[in-house]
Amino acid sequence: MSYSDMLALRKEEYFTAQLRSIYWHTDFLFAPLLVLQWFAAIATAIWISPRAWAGTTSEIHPHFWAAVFLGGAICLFPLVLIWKWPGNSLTRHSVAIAQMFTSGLLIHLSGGRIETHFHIFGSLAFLAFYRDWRVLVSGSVVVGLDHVLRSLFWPESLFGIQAPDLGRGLEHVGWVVFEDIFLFISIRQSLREMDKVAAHEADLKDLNTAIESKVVLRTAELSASEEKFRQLSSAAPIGIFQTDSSGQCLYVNRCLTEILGLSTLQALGDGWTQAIFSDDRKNAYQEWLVAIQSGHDFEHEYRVTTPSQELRTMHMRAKAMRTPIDQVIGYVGTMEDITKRKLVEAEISQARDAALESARLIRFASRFKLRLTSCATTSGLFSVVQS
Amino acid sequence: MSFIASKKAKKRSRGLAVAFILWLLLISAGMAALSIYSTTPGREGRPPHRWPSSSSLQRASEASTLVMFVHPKCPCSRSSLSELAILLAHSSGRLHAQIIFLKPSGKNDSWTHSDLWRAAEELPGTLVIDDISGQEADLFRAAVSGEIVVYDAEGNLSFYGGITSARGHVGDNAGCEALEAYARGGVTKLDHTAVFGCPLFNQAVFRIP
Repeated sequence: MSYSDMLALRKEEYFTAQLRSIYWHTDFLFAPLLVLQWFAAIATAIWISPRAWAGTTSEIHPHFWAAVFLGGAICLFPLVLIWKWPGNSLTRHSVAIAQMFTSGLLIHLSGGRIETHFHIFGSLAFLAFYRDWRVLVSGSVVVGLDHVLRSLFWPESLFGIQAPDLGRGLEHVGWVVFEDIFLFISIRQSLREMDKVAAHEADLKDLNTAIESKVVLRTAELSASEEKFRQLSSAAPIGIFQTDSSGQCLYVNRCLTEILGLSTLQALGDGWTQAIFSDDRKNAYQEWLVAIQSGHDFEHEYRVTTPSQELRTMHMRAKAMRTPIDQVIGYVGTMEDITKRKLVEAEISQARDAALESARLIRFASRFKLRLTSCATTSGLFSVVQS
Repeated sequence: MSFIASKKAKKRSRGLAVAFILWLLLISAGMAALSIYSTTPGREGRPPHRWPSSSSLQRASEASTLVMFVHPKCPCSRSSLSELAILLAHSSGRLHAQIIFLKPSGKNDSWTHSDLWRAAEELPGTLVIDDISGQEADLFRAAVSGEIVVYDAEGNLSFYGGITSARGHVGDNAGCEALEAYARGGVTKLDHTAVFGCPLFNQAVFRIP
């Protein structure tokens, strides 16, 4: 299957799903309407013709029974279909037919009032919600058949005249067709728009799939890279840490926890400062805060006390991480145990001092010897010793 | 499995189709029954060819007189009154209209003076009268609520029947068309129509011979 075929198939799927959803929702829109119309028919019968009279005797008017039983029969079948088979083709056609029969019943019960005839046109407009022109045809056929058959075979029931009047019946049907034409056009436009939306959705889905697979790939790459970093970081012979922009520690590597003698949890936040030797802590922490507030890089040496109360000298360096608009988003830094180096430096310094002292003494002895050898008398020797 | 499922689906579709057809037949039959009920006219009246001399109703000497008999409780007669209002508006005073409301013996004024009575009173240029014990209806041999009799200035019967197309239905009808033509030219193409409404009298005491 080619790519364009797959896209067309997906578009078709979206279009069908959307249409099915419209059928389903419109069915449930009509369910309460059908019940409401039934009650309205009963109320109309009670209001307009509650009882039929003959002299001084009366009985419940047949219109009331028609409203109850015929009205019930008209709406119950589509209601059962909506309940059991929403979205089904037969369901919506039954709804359309029921609407037209309800129009007929209401027109009848209201005494043929011209205003009640608007129920037909309103119903057709509601039926257009299905966006299925065939439903309008079903409804219109009911109205058309009713008018044509009555015009031909029972004209007095429609126009009060006994002569067949097909022309007038067709005139009534013509108004229904007139509305249908506009509704058909509206449905066609709506379906075209739905088709476009489905095509967009299919494209979008395709794009999303591509993006998602790319994201999955990138995530896997990132995970691998992160894992690599963690491995490197944990194996690094130097303490590494990361803080947020306020200086709160977010990450420490294994080496740093070992240097500080703290667990990872203890070292996070500002827990790492607890390991600083008490004499150096205040100064070190203040300098760290100043660097954070000014957004500058940080470099400092201080001593830390290990859990075994051993003093170690640390060299801490931190560099600000910045966004493209130069906003500090945190710090990344290293902490190096320079105790040995410091000791070596001290030893070197001591050795150098000792060497310098030795050299000075040698120079002095040479000078002294030279003077002694240049003295001829005892008094001269005495003055040399004195000087 | 799929074969059984498709067989079941086919069976269900067939069942639905049968139910759908039965439902269509049922509601079509119901509508037809309702139409038959509505378009079945009442018993035809046989008014005298001459204005009954014993009638207490006043006949106009220079215009035609239209008399409508109404059962005060008949729901169908509201449409007859609506049609009469249109007819009188179109006849430009050429018909002198009187609306006679049945008042059976033993019934008080509140029984007769129903909302139909009030609707009749609102019609301009009409006379609304009680017909105690249905004496006038008897004289004019009216049997159904909404029945109209029209006599010319000489007292000859010109038209009798109803002015609705069905029970309680407003709208175009042969009676109104005939009477409008009569009011315009004084000649009726149709001299009687069917009347759709409630019987004026109990079946047991029906007095039309």
